Amino acid sequence: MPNILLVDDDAGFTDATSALLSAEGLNVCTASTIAEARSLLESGTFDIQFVDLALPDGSGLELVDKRSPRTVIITGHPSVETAIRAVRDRVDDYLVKPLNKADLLSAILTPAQAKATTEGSGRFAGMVGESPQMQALYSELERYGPTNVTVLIRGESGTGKDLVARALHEIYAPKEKFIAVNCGAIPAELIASELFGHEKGSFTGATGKHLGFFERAGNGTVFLDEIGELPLEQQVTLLRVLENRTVQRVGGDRDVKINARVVAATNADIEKAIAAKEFREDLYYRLMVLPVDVPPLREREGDVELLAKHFLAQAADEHGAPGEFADAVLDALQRHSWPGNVRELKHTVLRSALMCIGNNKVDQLPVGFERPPALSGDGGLTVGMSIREVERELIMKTLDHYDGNKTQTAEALGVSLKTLYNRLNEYEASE
Amino acid sequence: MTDLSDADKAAIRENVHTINNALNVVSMQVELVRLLANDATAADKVAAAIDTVLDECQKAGGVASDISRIIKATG
Repeated sequence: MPNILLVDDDAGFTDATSALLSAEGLNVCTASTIAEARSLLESGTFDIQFVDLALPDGSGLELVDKRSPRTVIITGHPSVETAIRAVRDRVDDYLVKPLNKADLLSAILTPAQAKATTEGSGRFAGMVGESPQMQALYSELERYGPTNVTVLIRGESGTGKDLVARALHEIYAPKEKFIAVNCGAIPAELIASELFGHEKGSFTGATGKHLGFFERAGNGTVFLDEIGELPLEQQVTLLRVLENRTVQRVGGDRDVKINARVVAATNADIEKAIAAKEFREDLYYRLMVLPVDVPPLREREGDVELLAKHFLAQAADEHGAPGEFADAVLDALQRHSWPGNVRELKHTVLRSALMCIGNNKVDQLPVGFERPPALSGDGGLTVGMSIREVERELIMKTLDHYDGNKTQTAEALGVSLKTLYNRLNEYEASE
Repeated sequence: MTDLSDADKAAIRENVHTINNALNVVSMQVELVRLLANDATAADKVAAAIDTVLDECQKAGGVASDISRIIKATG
């Protein structure tokens, strides 16, 4: 728990606040003057200081410098907002009196911790789940979040890797930028320019200087989703960026220092890609400093019901759908194996909820929910088919099942949209 | 407020500050009373907190009257 320094000359405030925060398990020291606070700051280690602006021996801002712990200014002068803004880069937050306990606690906790506290044990920074697997994941995120070390998030499609990346960012640098990049969605010829930037005139169409994602993220986070789809040529450059913490814009000859934290994610089996020489082993180990595995929904005991009710509550709020499941529907949802994970559950609940608007309960599931179409039958699997033919058959049947919806098809198959498009283009070319 | 002298404006600002400080103490003391409400051994602390709340309310009431007087005097 954080160590807190409370600097205010009003004993009625410091005594009560100190007792309240101590009851929350926080360590609190108090000071009534700048001199007393300085002495405590020199001798103790504080994570955060709450400083009243008007102190008997000067302005509380005198306690703010480069060596200060996280600082929250408290003031009874609401009109000093402008003055605080002027030193905003050195002050983390400011609160206007009268305060309450919730104000203080929310300033002490990072946004992710505050969310986790207020949302209850089954929720963490936008994620829902109380299974032991998710509790373990939340603990990992709390441990890894405050560091700037590179994290590789691994998990099947639809497990919520993007939410995990965002949670890490919320703990690490909530006020900074979070830039999410889908490495599989950017055309290969543009990816270097988008990631690393380019100088004016570096290629046809480069009419001005362009900052890449790493530079634009500043002190925040660059989230490289589907890192397995990054072309080999850019993998070399990314490795250099991670090792040197500098980027060189396309067409430039100068190294630009970067501060952003890098979080990458993949649903692909990167070790297989390494064996097939499609992914660089050195980059893999450079990204793997802190690996985080997001469990598939089928392994998260008890979370299907929790998540289904969460998504249904959203549908009820947004679309006026019924707020309850019929028992049979809830049973069917819990029996399903969810190959598309949380994303598939979310879409299924939404479709069911919309189908049942006007009913008392959600008592229907989308057609074919429990019985996915078999591959056998006319044109199905037969002995002697090649793996390639089986793959094509599977892709076309799945595409047909989802009425040609490529996003849903890619999710169900556990491949990226780019991979699906590549396969479909191959099939078209071979016809 | 344009008719107020600089001294009056400063006095009002200072009084608003005092009121906010008083309300701040009240707010935290009330939170403390809520925390101690279920503790049978904390009767003295609860009584002291209530005394503090009453003092601060009187202080806030006093400066609110001062503000009224300043505004009334400036017409």
